[in-house]
Amino acid sequence: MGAPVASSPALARLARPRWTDARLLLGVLLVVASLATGARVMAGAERTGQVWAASRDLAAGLQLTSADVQVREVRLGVASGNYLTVGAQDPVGRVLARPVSAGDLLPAAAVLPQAQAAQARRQVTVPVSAFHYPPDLARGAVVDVYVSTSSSPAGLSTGQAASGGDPSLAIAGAVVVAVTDPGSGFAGPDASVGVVLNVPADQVPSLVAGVRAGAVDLVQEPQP
Amino acid sequence: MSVGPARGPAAGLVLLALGADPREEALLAAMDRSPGRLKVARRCVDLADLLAAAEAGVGGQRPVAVVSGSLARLDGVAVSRLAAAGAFVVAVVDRGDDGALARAAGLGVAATVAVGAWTAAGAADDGHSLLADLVGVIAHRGSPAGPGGSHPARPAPKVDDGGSDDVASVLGRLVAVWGPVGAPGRTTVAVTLADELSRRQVETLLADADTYGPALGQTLGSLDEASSLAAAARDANAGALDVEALARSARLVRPGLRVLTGVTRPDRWPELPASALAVVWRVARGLAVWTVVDCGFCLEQDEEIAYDTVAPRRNGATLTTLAAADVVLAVGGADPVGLQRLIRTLPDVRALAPQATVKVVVNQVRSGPVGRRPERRLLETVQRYGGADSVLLVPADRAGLDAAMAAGRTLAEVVPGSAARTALMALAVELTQS
Repeated sequence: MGAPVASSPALARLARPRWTDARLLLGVLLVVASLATGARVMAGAERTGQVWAASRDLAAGLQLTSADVQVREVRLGVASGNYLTVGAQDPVGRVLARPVSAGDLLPAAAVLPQAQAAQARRQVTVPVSAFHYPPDLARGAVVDVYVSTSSSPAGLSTGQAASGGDPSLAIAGAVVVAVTDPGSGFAGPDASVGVVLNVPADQVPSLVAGVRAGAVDLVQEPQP
Repeated sequence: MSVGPARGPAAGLVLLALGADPREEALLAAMDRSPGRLKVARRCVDLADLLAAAEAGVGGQRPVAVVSGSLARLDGVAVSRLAAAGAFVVAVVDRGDDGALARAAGLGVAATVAVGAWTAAGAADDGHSLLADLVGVIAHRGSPAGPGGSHPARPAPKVDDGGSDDVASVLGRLVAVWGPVGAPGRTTVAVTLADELSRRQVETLLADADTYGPALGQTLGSLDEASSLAAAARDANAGALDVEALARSARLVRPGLRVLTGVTRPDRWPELPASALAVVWRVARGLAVWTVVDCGFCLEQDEEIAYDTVAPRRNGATLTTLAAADVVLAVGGADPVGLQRLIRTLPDVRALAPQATVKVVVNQVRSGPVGRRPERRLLETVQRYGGADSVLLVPADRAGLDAAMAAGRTLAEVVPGSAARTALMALAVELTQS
């Protein structure tokens, strides 16, 4: 007597929590794993580098000076190889292969060594009369050079020049490297300036020939 | 068809409710041919009709209710209502259908009659043999279940062979742990006693029949949200409770100790109907050597005064348990208020459990509320005013019981050296040796 004739399911009872509980260990593991993962992600997010950027609009062919570029703290990740990083390469003295807007990072491919750039481009000084160049012409501007062939280029009235002249585009997209100021600001009506243009080497002969043959106008796209 | 109630005791008056069974017609034809043996007082169309007829007194004080074992909605509560109305309930089941026979017995019917397969050709013979069986069964009708017989689910006498073994063969004994209103420590005594009994290699079942403040599950640290006693009561009401089903409902605390937790909220007390609990306790005797039942405090029978006996009775669970108990532990607190409540209610307990040994347990004995030498004072008081010869004093062990409550464990599991445990261990030893 007393032997159980039928079995009963066990009563689920409250148990004192133990340190060796599998659920506790799993929870600790989850917390540690998430902490480590979070730390890795945050460390990656804070990894920034110094990269060169344009401090103003820069035209193609311009030889960069230290005033043209500035240092930016940016996080580029895998794209960091596409830009000019501080310490690795110094942009000063190099030449831009294509235009870069103010604030843009300098692409590594757009900055050529001077020796390489010199093979392709030449600097030519062009005399330009007063009122034949944009008033704010300065280094870095991009201008089109028009040449008007005329028998008497100077001193004629505008009406005659219009009838006798035959303006032709000598070169498009030349970069102004420097503007030589002839005087101390009291330039007379005849005062002309010398504008140093950076042009492709193969266009130098036609430009020089044009400048010799007639008067030069520098035309600039309106800046926004 | 209804026949007016006949005067005189000669023929039994029958309330017939065989549902759609074609044997009803055959039985009526047989009764017509042999008048005087049984007389139909009413043919009832369904269970509601049968209950109404029995409770309205159709068929006199002691009718015979002949019901089909497969009558719709027939359950333990219905059978107990019929019995309470004085009816002798006979269930008609198919011969060889052991399941139906066991179910009818589980519902608490007074007798069962088995009939063979129905054939239209043998209708007349079937009617006659059914009538003869009924007359034979009714002849065995012993002392009638009186109108106050609210515990009709006693083991059904087996009239027919082929029935299953009576699973409720009386083996185990039942201890009802009762105590007056307040918190004298009924649950603590019940849990500790059951735990100590089970530690004496005695199969023990612990049940919570408190319909006011069930606390057994929490005391044992149970995480189970369902009431296993209510589950057993449902099975009992459906006539499907046997030892295996009771064991499935019960939960094993430790080898040797099973528990039937009480209702999850006090307002769910109707899940513990008295008639179903009577069956549960009967079956429990087949499952455990000792069944320890934690009872509610209230012994009043308001419903019977205010309404009628049919209304659900909240105190029915406690009253049924006391009526079924072999030993009643009357637990009182060891302070003037608790002691006075206990002593004033002791006569009621003795009246409700006339067959049981009533032992008084004075719990939380300490010198604070009663002064110096509390043991002697309490013993003298209970023996003089309560008329109790068996008094057990359980010392107060606030710290030990608090620790056990905090852990959701028994005293033996948490504070084996507790003085309260020692006292109740002695009671367990006494019970196992009695």
